[in-house]
Amino acid sequence: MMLERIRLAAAREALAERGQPDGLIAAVTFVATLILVESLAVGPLAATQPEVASALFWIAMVFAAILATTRSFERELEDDAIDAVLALPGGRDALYAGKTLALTALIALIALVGGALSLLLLSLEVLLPAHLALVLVAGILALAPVVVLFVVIALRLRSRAALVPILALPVLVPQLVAATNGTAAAISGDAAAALGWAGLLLAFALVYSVLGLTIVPAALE
Amino acid sequence: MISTTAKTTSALRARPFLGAASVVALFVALWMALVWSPPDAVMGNVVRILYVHVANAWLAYLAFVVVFLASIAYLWTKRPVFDAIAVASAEIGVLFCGLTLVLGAIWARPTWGVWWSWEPRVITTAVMFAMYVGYLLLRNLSNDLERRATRAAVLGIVLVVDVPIVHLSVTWMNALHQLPSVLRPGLDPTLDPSMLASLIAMTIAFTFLYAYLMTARVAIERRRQARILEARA
Amino acid sequence: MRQRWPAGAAVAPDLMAARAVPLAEHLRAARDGLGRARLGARDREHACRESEGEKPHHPRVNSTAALRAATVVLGDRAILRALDLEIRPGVTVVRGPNGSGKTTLLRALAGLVPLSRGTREAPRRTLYLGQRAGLLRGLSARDNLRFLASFRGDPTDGVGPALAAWGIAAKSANRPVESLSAGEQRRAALARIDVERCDLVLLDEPFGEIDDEAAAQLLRTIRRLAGERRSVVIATHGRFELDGGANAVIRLA
Repeated sequence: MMLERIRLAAAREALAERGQPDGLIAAVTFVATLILVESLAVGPLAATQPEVASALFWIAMVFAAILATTRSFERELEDDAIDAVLALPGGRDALYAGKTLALTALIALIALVGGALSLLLLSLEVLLPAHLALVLVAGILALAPVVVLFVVIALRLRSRAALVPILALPVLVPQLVAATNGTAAAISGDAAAALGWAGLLLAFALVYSVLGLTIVPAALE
Repeated sequence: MISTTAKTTSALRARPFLGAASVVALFVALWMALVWSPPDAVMGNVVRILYVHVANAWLAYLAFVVVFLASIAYLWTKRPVFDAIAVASAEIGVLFCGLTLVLGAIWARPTWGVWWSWEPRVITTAVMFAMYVGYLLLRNLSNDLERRATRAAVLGIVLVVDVPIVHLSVTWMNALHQLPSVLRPGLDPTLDPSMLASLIAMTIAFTFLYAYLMTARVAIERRRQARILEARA
Repeated sequence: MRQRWPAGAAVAPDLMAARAVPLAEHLRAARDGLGRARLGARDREHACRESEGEKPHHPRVNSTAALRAATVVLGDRAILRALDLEIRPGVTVVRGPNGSGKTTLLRALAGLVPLSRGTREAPRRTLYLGQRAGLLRGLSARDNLRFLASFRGDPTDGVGPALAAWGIAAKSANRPVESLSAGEQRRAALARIDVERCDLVLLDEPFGEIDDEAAAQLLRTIRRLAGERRSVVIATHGRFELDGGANAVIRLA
């Protein structure tokens, strides 16, 4: 029953994003703009180095993910839609899990656009595309639960917009380190390193998903 | 829940003793660190900062572990005293953590020639500092006792889980980039016994200080909680 | 033909922050109101006990939901303080000025606000309809209701007819909810009553934004629910015709 509820909650979120894609559009625009500006700021010579390009991409992704997630939860607060779900038995847990799943998919979509743009802009030649895809997936799986967690914690607070990055960025240091290094490794052809970092990211994803599912629903109101 | 009369718990009664013990222990430890123990063969007298620096680091870690345990206890029992312990330990932890970073930088300048290094322990401590400042920031944004406590407790648990993860990832990164391992700051256990003794003495002194500050801060927080509860009634 | 409302037994329990409406006043209002309140033997016995100042012993099996010694705090204020409340089948009306805690009371019964103290008992099948529509934007009214019903494990084929019965045509039901007017959104939310058959229905100012036709339908629905021995708790201003058939009127100060 719980799995079914999670599936329903995820489907609800997916439908809402399709019906009201302003969050997605904003996030995609944001990541594209940020990558462009970052690359300009560091200069084309520096930006084409795999490590730098990866870092620019993932930092932009963190902020875009926060943007999309915040918008999604703000939609829940409009008309108190979240209350209707929280009042249902099993609502709290299913809503958190379902939204995390759906938002992970959404962030993946944003990453696709951002990643494609990075590769194009910087004319990056990817030596290990399969490994790159793996690292990307693993990185998003590691990023999304943490972002959702912090948006939920800050949900009913005034300074939500500033607070979420302040809280999330230190906690995301491991994910950022692993994702940037893994992406750089995949681009430059270091298969072993790329796999290692991807594995680490998946471990992070597991730890934070379990942690999130266990305690975050308590903070959902 | 909290009673509005100030109860003299055993912790409160111990406070003057803890205060005295802290002062005495600090004096003794400082004497040992600054006067009694010998200068290091390599670093010279610069090593003396490390006694305080390392002791502070351990206490910071201890403080944040206490935040973690108090957070779990609060979520489990919903008793406000655990929330008071969490905030007190977080504040003191931030203080010790900040001192650790500053003293570390002061030590690093003459030793490595730089104020900062990208070494796992340094990064972990800096990230920890940022995390717990964020924790205090989160608490400041709400006046609702129960909701604030719940949010803070959830955060307190997440943050502690993250600390070893940060360390792990930075260690791996450095290994990959083959950063020189000579940058590892060192007080290894096979120290001169008098140096080890100074370190232990400093740690004991700071532990007393931590305990003393905790009793004071928890009492302040309990009084604040009681005031709010009275205002509600 | 005058409707006879099923009348419950006791008056509102005496609340620390509220004034209880004496039973005698109730009976008078009921007689002068829509119909004569019929009191069974058991009811009369309870009525006597109340006037003697003894705490009524209501058999647990008869109460749908309850709050016992419940305290709810928001910020630095206690909105509800040591509240003892039993909800029985039938209609319970909650009245009081703005800010007196009507919404908080309903949300506490719904389990949406944590209690600082005390306990809450409520049936699994509780429907809470707050002051705002509670529908997710980006979804149609139809999808919203289908989701909520499926979440409970209920069949969803009743959604279309229910929405139609509440005046939401199929075309409107399939458009995103944000394109509906406020009144239409509220009516769509009210249609949940018919889709999710619940033992306890909590309505927070349901007559707020709806037109007279919908209001009449709501009154009929409430009457029907009471007839089916379900519990309805309504927080409202005005609508005094509800009081006559209610088994309790709670006034919050």
